[in-house]
Amino acid sequence: MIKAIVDADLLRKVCTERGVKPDLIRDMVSVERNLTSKKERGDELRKMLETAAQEEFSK
Amino acid sequence: MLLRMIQMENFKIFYGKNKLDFIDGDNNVVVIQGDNGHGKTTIMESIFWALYGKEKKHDKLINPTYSKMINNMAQEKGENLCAVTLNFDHDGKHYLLQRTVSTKRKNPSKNSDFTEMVKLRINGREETDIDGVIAEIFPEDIATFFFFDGETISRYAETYTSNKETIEKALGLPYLKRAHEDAEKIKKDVEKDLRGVKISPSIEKLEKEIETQDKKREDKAKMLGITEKMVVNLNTERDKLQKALDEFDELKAIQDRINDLEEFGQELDKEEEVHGQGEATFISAIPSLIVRGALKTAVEEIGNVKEQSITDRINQGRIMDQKEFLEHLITTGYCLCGSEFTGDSLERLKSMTDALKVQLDQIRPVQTDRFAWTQGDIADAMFRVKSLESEMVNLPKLEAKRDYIDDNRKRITKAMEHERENLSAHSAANAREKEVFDRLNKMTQDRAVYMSKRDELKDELEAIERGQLDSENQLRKELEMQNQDTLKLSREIDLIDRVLNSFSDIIERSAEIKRRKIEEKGSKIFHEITNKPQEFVGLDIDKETFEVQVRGADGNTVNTKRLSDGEKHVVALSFLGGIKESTSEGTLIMDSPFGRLDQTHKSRLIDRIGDLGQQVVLLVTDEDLNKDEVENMKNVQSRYLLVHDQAQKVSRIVPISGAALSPNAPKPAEVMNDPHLEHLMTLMMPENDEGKTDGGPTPPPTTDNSNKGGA
Repeated sequence: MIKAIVDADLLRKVCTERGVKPDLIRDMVSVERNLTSKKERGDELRKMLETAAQEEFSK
Repeated sequence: MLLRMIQMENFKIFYGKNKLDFIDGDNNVVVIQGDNGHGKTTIMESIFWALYGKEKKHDKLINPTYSKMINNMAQEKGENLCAVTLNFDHDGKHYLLQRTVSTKRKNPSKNSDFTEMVKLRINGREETDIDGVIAEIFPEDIATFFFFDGETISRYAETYTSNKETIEKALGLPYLKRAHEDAEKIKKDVEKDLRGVKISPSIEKLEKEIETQDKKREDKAKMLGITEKMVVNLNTERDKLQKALDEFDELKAIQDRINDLEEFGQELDKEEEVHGQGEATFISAIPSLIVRGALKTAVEEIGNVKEQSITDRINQGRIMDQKEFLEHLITTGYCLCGSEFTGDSLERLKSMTDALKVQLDQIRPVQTDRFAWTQGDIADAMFRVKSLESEMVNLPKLEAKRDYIDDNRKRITKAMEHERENLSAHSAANAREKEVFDRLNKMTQDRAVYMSKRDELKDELEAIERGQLDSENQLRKELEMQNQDTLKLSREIDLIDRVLNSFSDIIERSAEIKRRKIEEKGSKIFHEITNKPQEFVGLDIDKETFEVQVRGADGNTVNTKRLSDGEKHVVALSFLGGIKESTSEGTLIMDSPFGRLDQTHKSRLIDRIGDLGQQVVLLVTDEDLNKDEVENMKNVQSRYLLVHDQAQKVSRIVPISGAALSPNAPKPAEVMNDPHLEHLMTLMMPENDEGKTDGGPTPPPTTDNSNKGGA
């Protein structure tokens, strides 16, 4: 969705500046779109962020 | 998303299969004409339902009512299934999406009486994450801006205040903002977890344990220090006392030496006594030597006396014998001859006896005294002389012995004097000797106690230190784990911060980028459609409020209150067109978009309608577009007519012209074979038995829409 709405170049540029994988932002937005339960969203996003943080560390 | 086909089967007013075909080409406008109530909006609804499983009501999507979804006529005929199939292309892939709802119940009413199924194939391959894919390529929030009706346009035209929300929705900003909010919440949770890690119960317990152990260790160490100090003090004191005792030993030694000297002196005394006797003898003999002449005379005299004495003794014996004889004769009265003495004779005898007595008395005393004196003295004198004569030989020995005795006596005396001086010097300590001994004994006992206590304390201290070491090791492990957790959480927080900043940047920048794009595209559309292109040069979208205003030729914004309803309608259409163009390529479906437009605007819009999107579907009534307008419309690809059967209350889609009649048009889609759906239907069979009066479940109709109903 964000691919369709947010300019891909902007997403790439911002993510590069901030040191974040664009896929993480896309996945997070996807969770926001697909899950209405705040708790479910929180849990899912937390997992994503944990995984992403671990992946960053394991690099 | 570019539509290729829409097929409805028993969907609401449409009975059987009804489809719309879209093909590529220079012409990109599809016109669907139909009177009110003939199914224009239903077509729009079918798209929303197929994509999202929801019905569109105003600008919102709500859950459908299944009982109203299956066409009545179909239900009457026992065709309890409706389906909508969409074929579309997106990002170079072909999508086939089909949503069905069915029931086997005789009189279904509740949604739970129905079964809804959805299938998606991408390039022929079945996709399971259907909602995810649809949300990715065509989220429902922006769908309302691509598939909109006159009502929506009018609302936008009247209330520009929703524009900000509209634009934000179109940009997906609500999700970005919500993602930002959720990330902030997660950050707080992680920070809380981080704080929680720091006060982990196990670590807190261990820290308290170590603290307690540390205090115990300090106490024990302090006690050990005191005890060791006591031992050291006792050792020092003991050394002092020992030294004092050594001094007492010295005193003893002095005393011993004195005793030895005294003993030696006594021995010397004995020797001297013996030696003194010799000397005395020798010395006593010295006068004898002096009186040696006299002694010689005395010896001679003694000889004389001895001779006289012998004579006297002989005389005395003889006189005594004579006397004893006379006395015997007198006693007996008879003579040796036997004759008896006469008176005279007796008297004479008596007189003779008396004379003998007198004679005897005269001799005895003189002779005894003289003999005793002479005999004693001479014997003594003679012995002395003889001893002296013998001692004279030993005189050098006597003299040497005397020297020895005298020298030793002097040495002893001197040593005694020295030792007594020492003794005198130690006399004060001597008095404390017992006390020192007592103190030393007590001190030794105390020292033993303290040393035992010290060893005990050392053992305890070691045990505590071992325990503390164990606890510290455990704590270290816990802390390492905590550090890992802390590090992990810190990294997570760091990432969340970056994610939050990313979202903020994306929201801010993309909003501005999109605002500019919408403003640019909307202005272009507006300028092309407006009947005052000289006066109005475009749209102006406020950076803060996203409010849409018309920008005048002088560069100033025009108060929207000054605009006519038609102009407002054009602004809204331009705005929606701007959003569409600036956000996504694909199909734009507009239901009765000409509602408030005057003829000029309408004509200008009709002329530009094909420019609004890559593919434009117009749902119009005869009032919206008359026959001439439709026929003169540029870029028309296909025309469809919604034909309604008043008697059966069903509609069908009839292609009028264009691609829909092309032999290349896609054939009607079949309901995708779904084993699960079949299984569900089988499960529902017992309840469905009641409905078998209608001949049981009827297979989905496969006839073309041209075979259904009647115009």
